[in-house]
Amino acid sequence: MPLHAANTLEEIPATHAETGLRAAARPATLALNDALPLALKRDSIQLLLQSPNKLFLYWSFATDPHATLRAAFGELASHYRLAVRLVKVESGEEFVLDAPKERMQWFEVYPRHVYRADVGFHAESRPFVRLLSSNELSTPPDRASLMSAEEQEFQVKAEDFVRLLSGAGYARYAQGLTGEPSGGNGSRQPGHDDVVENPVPQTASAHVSREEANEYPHR
Amino acid sequence: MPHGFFSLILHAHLPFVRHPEHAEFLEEDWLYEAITEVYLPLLQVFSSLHMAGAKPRLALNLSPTLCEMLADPLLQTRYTRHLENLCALAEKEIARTRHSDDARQFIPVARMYRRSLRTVYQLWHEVYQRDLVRGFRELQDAGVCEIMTCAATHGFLPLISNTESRRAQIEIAVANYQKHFGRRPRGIWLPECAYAEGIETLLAAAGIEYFIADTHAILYGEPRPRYGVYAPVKCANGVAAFARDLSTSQQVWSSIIGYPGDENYREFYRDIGWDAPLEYLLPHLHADGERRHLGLKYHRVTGRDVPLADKQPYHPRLARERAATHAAHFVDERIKQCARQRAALDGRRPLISSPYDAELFGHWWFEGVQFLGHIFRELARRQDEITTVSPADYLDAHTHLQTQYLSPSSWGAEGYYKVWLNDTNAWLYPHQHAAEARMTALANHYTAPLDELTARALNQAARELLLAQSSDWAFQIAHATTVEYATRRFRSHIARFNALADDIEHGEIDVARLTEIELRDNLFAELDYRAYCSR
Repeated sequence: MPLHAANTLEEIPATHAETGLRAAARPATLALNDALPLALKRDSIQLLLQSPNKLFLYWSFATDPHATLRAAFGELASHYRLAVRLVKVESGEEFVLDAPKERMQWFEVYPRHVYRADVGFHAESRPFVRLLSSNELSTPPDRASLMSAEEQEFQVKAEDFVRLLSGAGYARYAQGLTGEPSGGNGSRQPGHDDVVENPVPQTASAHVSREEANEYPHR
Repeated sequence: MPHGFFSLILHAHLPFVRHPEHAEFLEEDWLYEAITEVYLPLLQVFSSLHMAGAKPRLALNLSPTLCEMLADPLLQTRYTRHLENLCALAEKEIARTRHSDDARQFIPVARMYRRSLRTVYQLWHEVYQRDLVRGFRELQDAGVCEIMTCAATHGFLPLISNTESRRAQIEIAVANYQKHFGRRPRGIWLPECAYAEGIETLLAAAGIEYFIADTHAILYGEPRPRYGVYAPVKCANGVAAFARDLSTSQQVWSSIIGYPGDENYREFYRDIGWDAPLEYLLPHLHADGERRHLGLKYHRVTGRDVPLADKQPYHPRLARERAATHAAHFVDERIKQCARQRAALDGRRPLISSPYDAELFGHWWFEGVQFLGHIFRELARRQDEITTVSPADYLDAHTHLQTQYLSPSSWGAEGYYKVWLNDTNAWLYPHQHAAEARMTALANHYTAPLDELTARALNQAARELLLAQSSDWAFQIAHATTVEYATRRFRSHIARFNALADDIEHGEIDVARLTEIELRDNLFAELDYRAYCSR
């Protein structure tokens, strides 16, 4: 519940009579302009979900990867650039781009797919040299499921579900629920979100904003 | 027979804003304002309803950081001082409005503040004797509310990098709940209603039976939900999920169609702290003499596009009447909604789950607590048409739920994780995740601590990590509200964590610094860092 402007002080001005708090010789605070170094220089890579259409990747190295490259490839090292590779796990499709200095990258992706990202060295017509490989991450759906329940009590046909949602004011959640495999459950119909194309790094948001119900300050 | 069920769910949370290093601190006021405007009025309203035999029933989440602050003696003492200061200002306002021609129109409002603050003072000192956690515990024991837990420091679970740290947020919260409420929680409010696959496994391991999720967690779940959002579903491991009903959210949250935008309700942003002459206010401001919101507001909304300077005087009686009218409308709409959905659900009685931030009621929407009181009186009057339940009540009566794989989601803008992960705050996560990995490594290494001092340092390192994980910092940075404060808090907790971890690893613990950090960040005295061990 953020209410007002910030008070920025955290230093202890003096021994505090009310609390008995006493400042230690070595500071327990950090000036706002001081750098906040990563405690451990470590090899790390993490792929995070922002939405069905966007992922965030960051990484770090324990040692200079270019030194590793030079040691391994000698003169050939000059052909390689540090790169980020996004892999669509189910199909193996991949998209490679130069790794930014900031060691972080946004990707625009598709709902309902599994992705992984690698950081490594890339050269034209040569295999990608993988140094770091991220966690695999499933993007969530951005629409209702084409599957109905197997249990009879909970089965609902797509048109009935659309009617239910529309009648309750949830019509926008029923988008794309057209057609259903005969039998009403099980296999998914090839559909709208199964179009496979190369994912692209972020240039502009591809989101269609959901109507925002919450307008008062709130999470 | 009633047409269906209604479940009101309130989420009360504040980040840990205790600053012993200063005699006064602006962000501590968040807590004091919420005690005055939200928590004490809620206790009063629901106690009154209970005493009157209205049998109110709701679910309430009190986050562990909030419980720890409410139980903290320093903050209790400081709140007492804050309240006395406010009462003194309210007394002064009676004289000011009486003796000035311009201000005479505000006399009824000044009287309202004096009366309500006197009530708050009496509740604080005499009824609850500064112990609001006890007040809520007694309401739970009396069957008025079912209190849920939350993650320990409101960490955004899907963006926590390892299982150990996610699990620690839940286990530490459960232990803290037991300390404050003397029993185990049945339900949890997932911070920001943020769900990701696998969280249910950690909940089940902690003995939690259900959680609250956003609408599309279930509507986009697989397979599609037979009853939409009008019945909970269960995950494959049996943990139940209740989805937010969007129409009830909009009716309260939306500034366009929502009740709080009514022209008769009190205007939040017009405050005496900015309107009155500075010299008049000085005794009631912090020592820095800076203007700030003081909570006495004399104007009404007036109209959606009316500039602050043109807002008209507030009339408490008219606002009270509107709150009663809106409550009757709200209940009537829920009954109609239940009847309509029951027909659409082949006769199955729907459940409408309505979760809200508790701080909306009384703070952002001044008349909100009155509104809640009227709602439960109206629900009692119309109990033949609609039944009020808590989520656990519903589960006790309905054991057969549809099994679903829920969709990752949150209740933030656009429905996923964007508020907590975007260009403004993505820089937090490499630091947070490094600390999470390091905490797990430390816990695994020191499964039996070398000595008491090392155990103290390990426990405090865990507290610093937990505080760094609060979703509030990323939220505040994203919304550009209190960016410098949020940034400083995050950086401080990471820096303290790293300093403690360095000391532990080097086997040279700086006792003075550890003691200082313990006195600053003194929450979760019961914490055991071994919650971070890998299993």
